[in-house]
Amino acid sequence: MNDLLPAPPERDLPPGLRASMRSELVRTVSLDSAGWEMTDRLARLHRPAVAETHPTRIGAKGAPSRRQTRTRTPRIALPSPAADGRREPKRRGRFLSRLPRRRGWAAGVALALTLALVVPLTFSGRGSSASAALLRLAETVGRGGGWESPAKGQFIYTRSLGSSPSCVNDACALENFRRESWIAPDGAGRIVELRGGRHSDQDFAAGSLPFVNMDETLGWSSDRLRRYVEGLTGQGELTDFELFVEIGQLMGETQLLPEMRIDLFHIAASLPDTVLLADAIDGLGRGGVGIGYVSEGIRYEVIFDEGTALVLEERVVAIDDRAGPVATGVADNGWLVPGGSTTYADSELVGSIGNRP
Amino acid sequence: MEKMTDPSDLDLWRRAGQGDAESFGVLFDRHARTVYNFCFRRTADWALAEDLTSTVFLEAWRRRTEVRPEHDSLRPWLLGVATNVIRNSARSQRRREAAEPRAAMPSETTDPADDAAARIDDESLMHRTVLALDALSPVDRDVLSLFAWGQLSYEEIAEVLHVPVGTVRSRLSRARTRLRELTDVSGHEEDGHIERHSVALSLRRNQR
Repeated sequence: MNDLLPAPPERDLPPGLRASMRSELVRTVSLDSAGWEMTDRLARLHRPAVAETHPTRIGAKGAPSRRQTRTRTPRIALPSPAADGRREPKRRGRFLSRLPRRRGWAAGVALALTLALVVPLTFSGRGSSASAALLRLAETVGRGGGWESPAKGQFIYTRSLGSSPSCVNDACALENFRRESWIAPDGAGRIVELRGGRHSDQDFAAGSLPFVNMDETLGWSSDRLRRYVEGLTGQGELTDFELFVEIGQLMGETQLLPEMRIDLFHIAASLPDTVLLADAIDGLGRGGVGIGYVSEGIRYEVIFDEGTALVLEERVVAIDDRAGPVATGVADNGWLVPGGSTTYADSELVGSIGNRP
Repeated sequence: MEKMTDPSDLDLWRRAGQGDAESFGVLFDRHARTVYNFCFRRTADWALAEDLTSTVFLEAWRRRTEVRPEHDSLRPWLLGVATNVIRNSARSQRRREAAEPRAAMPSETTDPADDAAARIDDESLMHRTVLALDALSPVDRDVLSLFAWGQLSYEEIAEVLHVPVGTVRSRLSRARTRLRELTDVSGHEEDGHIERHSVALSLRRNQR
């Protein structure tokens, strides 16, 4: 009966891949067993954002404590494609979901009350709740949050996970990744990545990895700083949306001086169409202050830790069923694709490459 | 003198569930090759099979609370998980193929050139077989693959697909009939059995 099908070829997994896959699985099981529930959290990575602009709750504290460090995970051109951008339907609002469905009138009253509370406060941009939240995050940085400079010989270890796009023309696919990086202030370091089933492990000499202190920008005006940020992208003048995306990525991936972070928060707060997201939860289940910006049917979202103002997650969410990839020179690989995300799971100072917190 | 025996899959599974991560690693060692090759046979794509193998084990771990292994080996259950993973990935895979030219993406892990060529040959052969199996319904395809390539028994297939044994028998019978029809078209049947490679051969002829 087994002759029904031709004798198939048979192979072993490539040895390096097999070893890295095994170690990744063992590590996942260890983390799960230690209470991390990593795989469940991974499954939530593609969950779309919750309804936006609920002003009554500006983020929830609950993130595991992290060191006040952050570094840029370099935008290295790594091999791509695969697709698994599943979406889940939008969740009902937390308040509405508690109401019995039969009591439609009660839901209606609740909705009216909610709207009455929310609508006057849902203006976006300058002077809005989103803007106010960004300014509060700047104050958090000013109080000393979000920075610990690496000493000589130290590396900033960052572990991130998520999914990033690969696109041909406007046809894009998302591929899950997990990445660990060790980066010294001189730009030397190592990056290990598992993308789909493929594994890469690269060492970098000093000066090879971006480590953007931007200390030359201290004291600059907002306009000059904006031009500087635009210059970093190499794209020339940016739209407000593109500028917000670039700021989100800089703050998410880059080692920045606190003064610089404060300036960037101020620039973001000055943008006219930012929105504050209600119940912003990242892929690891951490609550934070979510700020979004809508363009072409998608919303680019950044979730900040309320206590440190560090970025917990960046992600792209479709808010229109017809929304597709949006080309922009400020995004990794040139595209923002609904379902794409980067979650910063760990960020700590360590004494040597290969060490983990 | 007491002879040391390797722990069964069931023992390893229980230990992993109690936090012994290395036990899960041993399970991976035991079954990665089987899962990898099964995924390849269903997809005709080694790189995709690598991705899927990782996903199968992660999914197996995620569903650990649902597993009530009835046999000492986890192999049937893992192949059941693989079947689901492959089915779920089919749509996104089609999307990916639409998005990208079929040009092979270089793997990060080094492949000698001759090995890469052999992999392409493998893929070419399996691609024709997978195309042929497209003539079957998805449920028949699943049963046939688990039987022929996973080498599971009727009872094991019934268990992992959550269907009665009788259903497995009827699906296999239907799959066999359909495959026979395919080979009859090109007149290749020997002694009541479908000739080895006949599906691929008939397809090749039809393509000419």
